[in-house]
Amino acid sequence: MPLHVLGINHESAPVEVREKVAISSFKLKDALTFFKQSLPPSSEVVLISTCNRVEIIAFLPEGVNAREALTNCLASFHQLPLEELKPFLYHYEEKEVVEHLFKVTSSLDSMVVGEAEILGQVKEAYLQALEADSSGKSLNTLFQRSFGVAKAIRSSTEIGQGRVSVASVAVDFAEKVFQDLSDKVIFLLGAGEMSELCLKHLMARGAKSIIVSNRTYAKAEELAFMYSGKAIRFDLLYDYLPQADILISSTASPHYVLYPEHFQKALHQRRFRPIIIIDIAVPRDVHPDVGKLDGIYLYDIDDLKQVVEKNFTERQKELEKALTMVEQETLKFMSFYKGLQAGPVIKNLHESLHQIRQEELQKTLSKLPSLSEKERQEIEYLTERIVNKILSQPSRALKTGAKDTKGLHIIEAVKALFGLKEGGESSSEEK
Amino acid sequence: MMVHILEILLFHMGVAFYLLSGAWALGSLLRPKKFTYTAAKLMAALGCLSHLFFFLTRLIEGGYLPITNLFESLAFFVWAGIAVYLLVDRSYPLPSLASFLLPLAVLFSFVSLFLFKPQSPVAPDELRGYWFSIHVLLAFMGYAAFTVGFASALMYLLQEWQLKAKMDSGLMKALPSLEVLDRVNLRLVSIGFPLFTMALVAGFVWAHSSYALGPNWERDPKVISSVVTWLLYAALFHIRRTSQLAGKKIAYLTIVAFAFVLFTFLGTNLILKGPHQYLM
Repeated sequence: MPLHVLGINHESAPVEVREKVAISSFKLKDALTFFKQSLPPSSEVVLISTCNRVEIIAFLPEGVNAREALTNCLASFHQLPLEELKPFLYHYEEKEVVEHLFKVTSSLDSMVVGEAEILGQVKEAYLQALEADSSGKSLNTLFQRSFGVAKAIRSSTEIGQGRVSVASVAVDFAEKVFQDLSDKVIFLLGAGEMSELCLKHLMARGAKSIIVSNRTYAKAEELAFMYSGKAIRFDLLYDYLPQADILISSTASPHYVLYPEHFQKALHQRRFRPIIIIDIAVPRDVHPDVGKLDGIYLYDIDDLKQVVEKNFTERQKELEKALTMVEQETLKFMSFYKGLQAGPVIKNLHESLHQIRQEELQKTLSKLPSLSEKERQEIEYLTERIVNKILSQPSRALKTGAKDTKGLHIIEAVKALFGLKEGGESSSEEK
Repeated sequence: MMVHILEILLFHMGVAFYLLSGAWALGSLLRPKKFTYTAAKLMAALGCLSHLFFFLTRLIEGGYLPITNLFESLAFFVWAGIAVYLLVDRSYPLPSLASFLLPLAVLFSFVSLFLFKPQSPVAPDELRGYWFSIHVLLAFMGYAAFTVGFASALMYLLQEWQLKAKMDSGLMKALPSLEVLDRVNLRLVSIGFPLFTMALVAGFVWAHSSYALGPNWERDPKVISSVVTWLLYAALFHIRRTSQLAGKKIAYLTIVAFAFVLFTFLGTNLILKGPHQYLM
C-alpha cells in the first residue's frame, strides 16, 4: 500500500522556511491541481497547510520514488530550489503515515497538545481535496477514519481539558463568581496585550459595559472607542471603582495602585456585591491583602500561570494515553485496509483459476466432438466443482484472516503464490 | 387490609425511587455520562408521586392529615424537600444541587424506613383540627424551603473556598457560580419565611384554642425554638435588604438558622420534654 507523507512542521523547520512553503487557502486548489497533474495517474493527494506545518499526504502507485517526486512537486510549485527544502523535510511511509495522520488530527503533534483548531484545519484540507478531485478512495477512507480517531481521543481522554491560556483561566474564574456577564461592568485599568485579551474573552461571553482608565487619557479614549466603552481620567479611578464588577489591571506603575482601604470603601458602596480582580501587572498593581477581603476575588499573574501550568501537566499525562490509542487505531486501520484488499484478491483468485479451468475444458472438449450435450455438461460441472472446492478454503481463510495482522501475510502470500498483481489480474498467462 | 397493603407498597416504592435518585445524583457527579441528572430528577419525581399517593391514602383512610408521628413527619419532610427542589429546578437547573440534596433525602428516608408503621395509629383528638393541619402543612413546607436554602448556602461556601484557593478544581467547575447560589438562597428564604410565619400563626391559634399543649403553651420548647428560628430568618432578611454583609457571611448565617430549624423540627422532640413530645 503505497502511502506517503512528506512535510515540514514546527519541529523540523524554523518559521522562515515554513513561511516559504506554506500554501494559503486561496492557492490550495491550484496547488492540488498542480500536484495531481505532476504526479503519475491514479495518484491521490491531500495538502495540509497551517502556520505550524505543511504536509503532503499521497497515495502513489508502486515503483515511484515518492520522496523525490513529492519534493520536486513542492519545490517547483513554490519555485524554490530543491536544496533549500531538502534538509527540513520528513518522509513517512505506509503504517507510519497512518500513525502520523492520526496523531496530527488528534492534535498530539501540535505545539499545544490538545488544541481544538487542528481538527477543523485537517477537515478543511480534506474537503478542498475532495472538491479538487485530487483525493481518492484510499485517502478518503484514511482521512475519515482519522476524524473518528480524533473525536474518540478527545472524548475519552482529557487531552483537550483545562485552560492553557492565562486569559481563559481568568475568565473561567470570573464566570464562577458571576453567572451572567451581560449586566456586569468591566473596568480596564492600564493597557496591554494580555489585558485586552482578557477583555475580549469576557466580551465573547457576554460582557458589554466597559470602563477604561489610563495614565494617558488619550490612550484610554482610544481603547474606550475600540470597545464601545467609557473613558475616565486616571485621577478619578477611585471614584469609579465601586462600579467595577471585574477589574483588569495592568498599569506600568512600579508600585501598588490599589490598597485594601480602597476596596473596603468600594465594597460598602456597592452593597457588598463581589468584585473580581485580574491583576496582570508586573510588578503588581493591587496590594495582595486586598485578596483577603470578603467578597474580593483577586488573581495575579502568578496565580493564573500556576493554573495554566497545572493544566499543561495534566495534558501531558493524557498524551501518553492518547498515543496508546493512536497505536491501537493504527493497527486496526492497517488490518481493515488490508481486509479491503482481500475482496479484490479473492475475486482475482477466482477469476484466475476459473480462467485456467475454461481454457483446459475447451481443450479437452474440442478433442471429444462425439460427446452428447448431457456428457459435455457433466464434464463442465466436474471442472466447476473441482475448482470451487479448491477455492473454498483459501477464500474463507482470506476473508477471516484479513481481519487481523496475520491476514496481511496471507494476502501477500496468496498474491505471490498465484502470481496475482496489485491491480488484480493474474500475471500467469502460461498454458 | 387492602389499604394497608397499598400503603406499604406506595411507601416502599417511594423510598426505592428516592434511593435510586440519590445514587444517580451522586453518580452524575463522578460519571455524568452514565448517570444523568435528568434520570436522577425523574426518579426523584416518581418517588415524590408515590409518596403523594401514600399520604393521600392515609389521609382518606384516617380522615386527618397524616403528619402526627415521627415517622410521618420525617417522610413528609423528605417529600416536601424533594418537591421544593424539583420546583426550584425549573427556574434554576442545578445538577450539583441534586448531588447534594438527593443523597441527603435518601439518608432521611432510610431513617423513616426503620420507623415505618404500617397502620397509622389513631391520633388523639387534639391533632385533628383544621388549624393543626394547616399549621403542620405550612411548617413542613417552610422547613423544606429552608433545607434547600441551606444546601445552596453550603454550596456557596464550598465554591467561595475554591475561588479563594485560586485553583480550577473539579469541584469549582461542578458547582454553580456564586451569583446563582446566592440567588437561589434568597429565593428559597423568601418562600420559606412567609410559609413559616403563617405556620407559626396557625400554630398559635391552634395551641390557644385547643389546649392541646396545655395552658402554658408559650413555654413549650418547640414553640420557643420556632420563635428563635423565626427571628433568625427575619434577621437574615433584614440584613440582606440593608446589605450589611457580604455573601459569605450571609451563607454562614443561613447555616446557623438552619441548624435551629433542625433543632426545632427534631431536637425538641428527641431531646426536650414537653407537650409536643407525643408527636413520636
